[in-house]
Order: sequence, then C-alpha cells, then structure tokens
Amino acid sequence: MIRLYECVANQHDLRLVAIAAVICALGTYSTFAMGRQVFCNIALKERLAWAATGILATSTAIWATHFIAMLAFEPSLAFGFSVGQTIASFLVAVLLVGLGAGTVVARSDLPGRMVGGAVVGLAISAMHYTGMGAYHVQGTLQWDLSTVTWSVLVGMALASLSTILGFSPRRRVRRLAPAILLAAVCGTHFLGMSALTVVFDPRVEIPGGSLDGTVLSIIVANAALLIVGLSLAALRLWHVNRQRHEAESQRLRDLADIAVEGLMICDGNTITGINHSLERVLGLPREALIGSPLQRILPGLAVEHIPTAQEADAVLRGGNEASIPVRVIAQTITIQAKPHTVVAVRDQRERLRAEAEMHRLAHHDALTGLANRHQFNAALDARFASRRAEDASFALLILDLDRFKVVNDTLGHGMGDELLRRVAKRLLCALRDEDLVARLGGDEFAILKAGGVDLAAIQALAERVIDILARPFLIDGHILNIGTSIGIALAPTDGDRAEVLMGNADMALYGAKEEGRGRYRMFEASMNARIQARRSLELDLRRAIARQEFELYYQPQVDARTGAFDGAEALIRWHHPVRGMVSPAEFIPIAEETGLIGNLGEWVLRTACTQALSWPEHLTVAVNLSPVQFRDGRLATTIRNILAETNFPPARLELEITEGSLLQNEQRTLVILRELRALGIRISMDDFGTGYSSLSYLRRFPFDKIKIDQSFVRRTPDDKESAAIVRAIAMLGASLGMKTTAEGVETDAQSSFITGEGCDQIQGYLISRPVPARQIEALFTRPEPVALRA
Amino acid sequence: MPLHRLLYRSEVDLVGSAADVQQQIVEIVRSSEARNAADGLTGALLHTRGVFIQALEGPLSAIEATFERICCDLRHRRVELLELAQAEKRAFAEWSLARISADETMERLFPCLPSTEDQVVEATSAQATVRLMRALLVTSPTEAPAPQTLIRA
Repeated sequence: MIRLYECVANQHDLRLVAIAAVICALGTYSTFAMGRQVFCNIALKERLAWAATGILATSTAIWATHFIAMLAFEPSLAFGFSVGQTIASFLVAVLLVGLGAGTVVARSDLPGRMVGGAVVGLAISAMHYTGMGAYHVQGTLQWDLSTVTWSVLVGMALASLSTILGFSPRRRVRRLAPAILLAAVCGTHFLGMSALTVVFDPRVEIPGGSLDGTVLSIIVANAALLIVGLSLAALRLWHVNRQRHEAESQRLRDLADIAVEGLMICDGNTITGINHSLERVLGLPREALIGSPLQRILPGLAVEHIPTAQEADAVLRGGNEASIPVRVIAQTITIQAKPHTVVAVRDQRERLRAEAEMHRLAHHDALTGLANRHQFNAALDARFASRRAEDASFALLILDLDRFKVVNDTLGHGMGDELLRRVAKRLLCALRDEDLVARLGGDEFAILKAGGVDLAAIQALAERVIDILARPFLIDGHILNIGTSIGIALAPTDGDRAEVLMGNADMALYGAKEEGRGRYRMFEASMNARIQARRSLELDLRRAIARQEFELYYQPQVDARTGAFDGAEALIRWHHPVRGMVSPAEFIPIAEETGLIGNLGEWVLRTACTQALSWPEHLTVAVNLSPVQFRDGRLATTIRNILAETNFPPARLELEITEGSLLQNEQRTLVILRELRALGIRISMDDFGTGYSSLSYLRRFPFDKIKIDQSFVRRTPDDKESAAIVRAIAMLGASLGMKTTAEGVETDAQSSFITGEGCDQIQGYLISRPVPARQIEALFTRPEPVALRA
Repeated sequence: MPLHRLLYRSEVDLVGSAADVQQQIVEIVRSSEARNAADGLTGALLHTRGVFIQALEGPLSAIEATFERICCDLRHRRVELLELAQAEKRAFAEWSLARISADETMERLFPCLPSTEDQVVEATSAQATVRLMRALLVTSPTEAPAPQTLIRA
C-alpha cells in the first residue's frame, strides 16, 4: 500500500493523473450508459450498435487512461512508445472488453455477470501489460511479480463487482458501478506501476520510430475524449429523440384510445399496439396481446388477407374464448420508417342485435309474440317451394275467435289485448313444436300443421284447439267465454299455392261459422260455389247504388184508436237486373259486413226525407238504422246535413234502432242518440221482445216509441204467451210514457186485441203492404183516410 | 284482498292403467300443493269416474293465474267453470290441495258430476259440492286421514 501511495504521489505528475482519471471516469460512465441501452427493449440492430459503441468507448477509456498515466509517470529518464505495440494494446483492450461485454449480454445472471466483469478486468491488465511492452525507457524494467499478480486480481475483482452492481435493481447501487470500474482501471494501472522499478542502463537505446510521449499523450487524450464524448453525445441525442418519439407515440396512443372503433397496429402478423376500444371489446389488456400473433385474436386471418377497400366479416376471439362478430379493414402506415398495418375492428354485436330485433319485429306479432302474417305467408311459400317429400302434404288451419268483438267492444281494448295474449299462449300449449302458429291480425290465427295429412291427427288437433279456447278466461275478475271456429284445408289437394290454400281454408272457416261456431270444418269443393255466389252478390251490391237499383217502399202506420194515418216506415227494396227482387234479409247483412251500409243508409235517409216532404205535414217517416252505422262517429252530423239539404223538418223524422246498436258500444250509441234527439228527431226501439229485450235499455234512453216485434203480434190473440208479452210491453210503454206500435198486424182480431191492450199504433198488411213512394203519396193525399174496422 | 273461491269440473285426459293414472294424479297434486302453498291458495281435488272437480280459494289474482295454467293443461278436457265468487272464509283452509277419492256412494251425492238427468249447475249446487267435499275430508275416517297426513299424501 505504501509503495502504491509512493508510486502515485511521488513518481507521477499528479495533473496528468487527474486528466487520466477524468477520461477514465467518463469512459466507465459511458460503459454502463451504453450497456443499459443494450438491454433496452429496442431493435436488435440498435442494440448491437450501442454494444459496439460501449465496447469502443470503454476500451478507449482504459487505453487512454493507461497512456496518459504513463506520461504522468516520471522515471526521470528519457522514454518513448513503440507504435505497433501501442496499437496492439488498444486492440487487446477492444477484444477483451468485447468478450467480457458479450459474456454479460449472453448470460446476464449473476455468474455470467461475474465472469464477464472478470474478463473486462482481465482486459484492463492485458491492455496495461501489452501497453507496458510499448514503453521504452533508457534502462531496464524490473517487475515485482507478486504486485503484478495483485494488480491483475484487483482489476478482475473490481471489474467483476462493477458488472454485478451495474445490474442491481436499486438505482443507488447501480450508480456505484462506473466508480468501481474506474477503481478497477486505476487500481490495475497504479498497482502495476508500483510493481515496476526502472533501473538506469545507459546501454539501452530507445528504438527509433518511437513516439514521443507528449505527442502520444495529446493524440491519445484527444482521441479518447473524442470517442467517449461522441458516444455520450450520441446517447444523449438518442434519449432526446426517444423521449420525443415516446411523446409522439403517446399522443398517437391517446388518439387511438379516443377512437370508438377498435384499432390495432401490426408489424407483419405481430400485434404491436391495441387501443382501449379493442381492449374493451376483447376483454383483454393490451399487455397480454402485444407481441402476440394476429391469429390469436383473429383466428385464421393473415394481415395480408384483410381487405383495405371494403370491410370484411370476421370473428374476434376475445377473453374467455368468446367469439365476437366483427368487421375488419386494414390500412398500411409507416411507423419508424417501417410499414405497419393498422387494422380497424368494428364490433358488430350491437348492429346484429338491432337487426335481429328488427327481424323479430318484422316477422312477429308484437302483441302475442307469435309469427305474423308476413312470416306465416313466407313459411307457407317455403313449404310449397320445398322439394322434400315430407313437406309436400300438410294441413292449414285458420281460426277466428267467436265473440271476441263483444269483449273488445264492451270491456275495452286492454282486455281484448290481454285475451289475445292468453289465446296465443293456449294455442302454443295445444300445438307441437314443429307446428307453426301465427296471428294473422285481429282475432284471426293460423296454424300450419306439419307431418302429413293424417285426418285423425288433424281433427284431434282441431278438437284440442277448440277445447282449449272454449275454456273460460279469467281476467281481472271477469269471466270471458269465447271460443273459436276453425277452417281446415289440406295441401296439396285443397290448393297447391299459398293463396289458394288460404282462400279455401277461409271458406271452410266461413262454413264452420255458419254452422254455429265453436266447431271446425274441412274444406269441401262445394263450399266454393256457395261462397262464390255470395261474393258476386257483394260485387253487385257495390254497383247497385250507382246504378240506382234501390227503391224505397213505405208501409203506413195508423193510430190504433182513430184509424188515421200517423206516417209510414221506409223499407228498402233492391231490383236486381238479373236476380230480380233481392230480399233485404239477404243483402243487408252483406252491406253491414262490407261497410256498404254507410252509403246505403245515407241514400235511404236522403230519399225518405225527400219523398216524405210531399206528404201532408203531420205525417212522419220512419227510417231504420243499422248497428253498424253507429260505429261511424259522424252519424249525427250526416243526418243533420241530410235534413238541412232536403229541408225536411226533424220532428217528422223517426229513427228506428235495434238492441244491437246498444249492445256493441252502449256509451257511443247513447251519445249519438242524444245528439239526434237534440235535433228534434224521434227515436224508436225496433223489434222489441226479441233478443235481450233488456229493460235497462229503456231506462237508459227515453225512447219515443217501442215497436212490438211482429212475431208476437202475429200469434195474438190465440197464443196466450204472445198475448201476455204484447200486453206487458203495452203496459210498460204506457208506464214509461213511450208510445207502442204493433208491427205485422194482419187480421181484425189482432187489431182489436192490440187496440184493446192499449197499443197506440198499428202497422201491417191489414192496413197496407209496403208500397212504392208514388202509391203511398196517393194514399196519404186521398181526402178520406181508410177507416179501420174497429 | 277479498277471498275468492273457484270451482271447476273437467274430464281427466290421462293415459295408462288405473294405477298409472292414480300415480299421475298423485304427482299432479304434489306439485300443485307446493305451488298453491306459495301462492296462498288452498283447495281440494276430487277425482272420480274420469272427472276432476277442484275447488281453489285465495286471492283472486292467484286463482286467475292458477286457473289459466289449468286451462293450458291438456291433461284436462272440457274444463268447465262452475263457480267463481267471493267467499266469506276458506272451506279448505287446512289443505294446500287435498285429494279426495270418492267411492261410488259418495259420487251420487255430488251434484256436479255429470248425470243423465241434470247437466245444469246452479250456484246452489256449486256450494253444495264445496260443502260435500269439505265434509268428506273432515268426517270420513276411511277416506280422509288427518289433514296433516293428507297434505303429504
């Protein structure tokens, strides 16, 4: 130790020693700075470049330290350096430092670092003693071998320690590494120098061509500073560049993360970046995916196959192996002068859900969840289009609920809707899975029964459906008894096209309803003719108004006591050009069903008012209103307009309604009746005694007149029951302050009985058949009224 | 919540031997008991000569839901509602669903069973049926064990 001290302090120029130390410190600092770069997560090429720079900087520093320190060595004798060996010593340093660094890089575990560091230490000594070989002095060099050994060992040990500490996870410890490496360099050098004794020997000549110490020191110092300085500058630049780059990348990442759609950057088939949206869609963090092949999340898809012009459908494999339908589109961009691919990944789940919902809405009935008409027709068409033998024959059942309209009209749509929902559920219970049931609209349902046309099975199904829908429905305390009628058509015998089969099943349904509801009917070809006839009648009816085929007949009404005319009831007649006279009983129901009754009713009113205007002023005209006409909320307005148009006094108009009008929607009907009454029109209850004859109707609206149905009148006075009914109604009318009219009076006996019971008015064949307008006018304007035989 | 009682009759549409049918009915009763208990319903089921007569009592909404389920069940045929009315108190308060197997003499006592003379069920006969069902459960020592055992039957 003392020798070492003396060697440094007494034998060296301390200023030059300081310069050597500074160069060495810079060198060892750069060793670790570059070393870190080698372990950075950057491109291999860059890492190699940094490794070479590091090795060069370190070797240069060691080499320069040595030679500057050698200059500081003052043997008080002339000295010089041989060029060849000086260069050789530098190459030795580069070689061994490279070997040591390579060892550390190859094996960065503790033993690897120890060995690598030791090799670097060896590089210091090897360089030192090779360098000493280039040292020529006028004397002989004598070496103390044990100190030489120590110098080598100290260098290796310290260098080894520095590489161990240089990889410490603790920053403070890491910072010691350059200083220890510095100590290794200086230690080796000065221990080596202290092992040296120069003995003057004038015989020794410094060989020619040796470099002068001062020149060498300047060259060496400058070269070393240049190399180390440049390396450090490069490192600094690299860091600045990298920071800028990172800031830029961060900005790009932020931007990508804001994007709603999933984005991913691929280098070849390797994922190098993923944005937040895609992380969310995948349910995986980006750390788990960066570096993975693209196929990990897009199985079976190669980057070069992702289209760049139009999105392609693909399946994304997310966390939990979830398959997510997506669309992908790629775009090539340049990142760090390298082409990358940006893949946009659009999650299709929401869109597919919306589409499925739209599809469901388009194909299903929103109320019941059953298939709708559209879907059913499609299924039917598919059946007919199918070439499979088992699809060829099947049964089509069309259902229509009985009495549903009454529920809907009396208890409201809410109740009607709930009823339809329950009907749908029950239908599903009665069917097998392979049967298709649809709500075609309103209270009309259809069933496509698969599995051939085994009659027994079809009838069993029909019976099951009829049974299950005939069971009561209990809704909010109401007991609803509906039921269903079913029409059945079989494919392909009853129709080989959807429309034909539907039409025939409809016809069978019509037949079932005519037979009295709550039953099913199979289609028969003969149904066709009957229904065709009805259809043609319907067509004729539509044309009849325009062709003026209707005419009004009038049946007079007389005062039961005086026999004087009170007025007449207008009755419609249809002169069909081919069929002749068509009964109202035949065409009025059709007019009601088709809605033609509206036009027809208006025509009747207008015509009756116009024709009755020419009658004596005290006579009234009675016009029948159909229940269907009351569904039109503008009925009262229409009547008022007709009265205004024809200038007919409202007080002379009598409107006859039946219970049916009150049954369907009592509230609405009463509102219309009150409006009509306010105009001064009289209202009669027609056909009283048939139907429900509910007394509550009489209480709820103050009718002007009750007309006793002719079915009772005709049986009086012999039939006791009819007589009693007539008597009761007459009394009822009297007590409620309503007039009573007996219709269908045909005999004197009836007339006298009815008059005796207190009826106010008589109408019937006894007085007159219904006669055309011209005739009734003549009858009314005759000076002497027809006397009644009382 | 006013108490309601419902009485219906239906034809049994179960297939299999007599023992099979009996077994199926036991199953039906067992699952109905659990459901009824949860819904606050009590009642009794009489099975005889291919006919079910069942009484259900409890809140109206539970009765309606249960009856709708029965109406969706194809093990019944021709379900016919005999009575739905408010009741003062439960007639079968002790049983979620008591099963009654009437013997031949008992059958004659039931006005609601289909007979050649009278198909019409009046309100009085509905009430009479309920009373008879109750009487059968409570008094007959051979047919009806104590209520507790019957629940588990």
